[in-house]
Amino acid sequence: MLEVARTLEGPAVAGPRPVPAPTETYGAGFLFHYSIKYQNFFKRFQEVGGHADIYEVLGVQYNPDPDSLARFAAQLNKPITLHSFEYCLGNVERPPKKTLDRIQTLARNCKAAYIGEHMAIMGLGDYYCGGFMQPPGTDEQTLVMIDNLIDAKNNSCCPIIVENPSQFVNQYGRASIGEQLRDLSVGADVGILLSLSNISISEEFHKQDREEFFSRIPLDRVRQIHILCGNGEELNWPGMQKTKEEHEWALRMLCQLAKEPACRPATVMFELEAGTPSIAEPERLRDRLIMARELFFGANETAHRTNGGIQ
Amino acid sequence: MSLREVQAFVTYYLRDPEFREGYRNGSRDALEAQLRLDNNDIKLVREINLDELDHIAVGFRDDRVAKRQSEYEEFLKHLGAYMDPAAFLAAYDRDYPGGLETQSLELDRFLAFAVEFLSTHRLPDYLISLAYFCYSFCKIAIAPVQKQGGPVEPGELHPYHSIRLREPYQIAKFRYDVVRIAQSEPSSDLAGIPPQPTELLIQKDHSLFKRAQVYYCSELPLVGALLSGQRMLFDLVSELPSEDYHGFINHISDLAHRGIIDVITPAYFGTYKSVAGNVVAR
Repeated sequence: MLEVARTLEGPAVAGPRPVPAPTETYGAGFLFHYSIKYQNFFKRFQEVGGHADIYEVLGVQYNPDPDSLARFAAQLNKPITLHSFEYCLGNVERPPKKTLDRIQTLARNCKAAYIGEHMAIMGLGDYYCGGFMQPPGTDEQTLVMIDNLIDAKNNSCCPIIVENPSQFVNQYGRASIGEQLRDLSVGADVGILLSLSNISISEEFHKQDREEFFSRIPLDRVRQIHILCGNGEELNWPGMQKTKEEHEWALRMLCQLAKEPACRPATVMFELEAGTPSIAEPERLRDRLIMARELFFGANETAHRTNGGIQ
Repeated sequence: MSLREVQAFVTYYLRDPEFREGYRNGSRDALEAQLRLDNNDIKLVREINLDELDHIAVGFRDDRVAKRQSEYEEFLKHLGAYMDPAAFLAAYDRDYPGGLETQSLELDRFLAFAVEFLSTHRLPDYLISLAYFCYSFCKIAIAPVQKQGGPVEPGELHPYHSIRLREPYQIAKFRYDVVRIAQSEPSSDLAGIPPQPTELLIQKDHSLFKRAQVYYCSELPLVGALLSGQRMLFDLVSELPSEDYHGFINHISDLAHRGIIDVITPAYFGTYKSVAGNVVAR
């Protein structure tokens, strides 16, 4: 562990440590893309009795019209978490101030409960590398990210949490992704967005050592979990076996994490287009949300459902 | 060691096909020197499995291409009658390896590339109209919503109200009837289609996320009258015989309901609550 992280982590204490911000608990929700597909899905989702406790939105989708996020958030009338890449946490060259101002405007427009940002390098100042690239595992890189994240946190209207990237290539540098995420979370004193989805995506590029990864993650810092919820019918198509196995793994992991007393996420967030050609069935999402509430948030909706409350 | 230079290596390798191919095919040392990588940097970047880095470079490229495919769907579908659209998209990616990939920037660059490519390769020019149609549609679809207007029911409309085209919109002129072409099956037979100058009203849809509506201007006679800005209904009805007045007001109401026009009440009218509780302009 980096010295700076070790200092902040402090000695082991008895009992659960306080969770990093956001300290509130929001419940279960899904990533709501700003598109007609999701607009139509949402109608069907409501028709089958589905409801979310919180929604996740992508800041980039509102950049051309930041006010549209305020209108959309008002319509949803639930807490919003804003997913961002604007902070480019891994980049040595910082993004222009107007970019950072824009994500803060969006956060204020939707009264964001918190912002989720990626532990990734995004390129150079004005030269995008094309995605969320796994950073080098060097101490210099980790320290740059800690500084960038502290600066972002200190200038944000709401808490910021940090997400594990997919492992696209072999580890280059001393630290694994899990170690670096732990050091970043502790060093900048922010919560972790634990993306089971990104671990599954790694499978297509570089098989991630999942055991090693989970051994590094301080579960008491996990404030959000990202998990796949693809289309159930398509998961049974020929050729989809591997994807189906990833979905099953993610559900098993979710159940396992729920049994860990240290793991007390504020939010469990489902991603609906991960791995299958079509979006999830609304009934499937509805049931997954119920399951997540029961696992993590003390809800007991199954009885209600089987009694005919939700079909 | 300079982390910035290591990040530059990763960025150029992922984004720039020429850099990637050069690095793999004999120019490794020269490119490392060009980026001013020191020995420690070189040691670090050479730890990266290049096959895996190539794989994710293609993945990032595919993400970028998928976005352009969604924006320029009709254009690329019809381009497919003459060449493999994947080759066209790969050429675009190669020509524009730099910069941020914000949607507005990419829309502009893609249109510029398409026009240049189609002209250079002497492909049928209805494809240029189609590319411009896709561009205009997307630009309007993502444009910010503007403040909307007032009453829309025929009984609430009076000659002192003004009307204007609801913003944002674009009146776009094309050499071909792009709507008809976009709806037809892609075929090289279309190469002989005669030009048919077409004017379209492309207007942001305020009820659907990131969508626009498209109308032939020829089917909306009022559009021409509103191009110079808002017009008072007095001004428009004064040209009509009195027996056409109610039909005209109904037409205005229909256009307002469809979101094509906004109705504006003069600011000095103020509002009051009617008995029914609706806020109306006097």
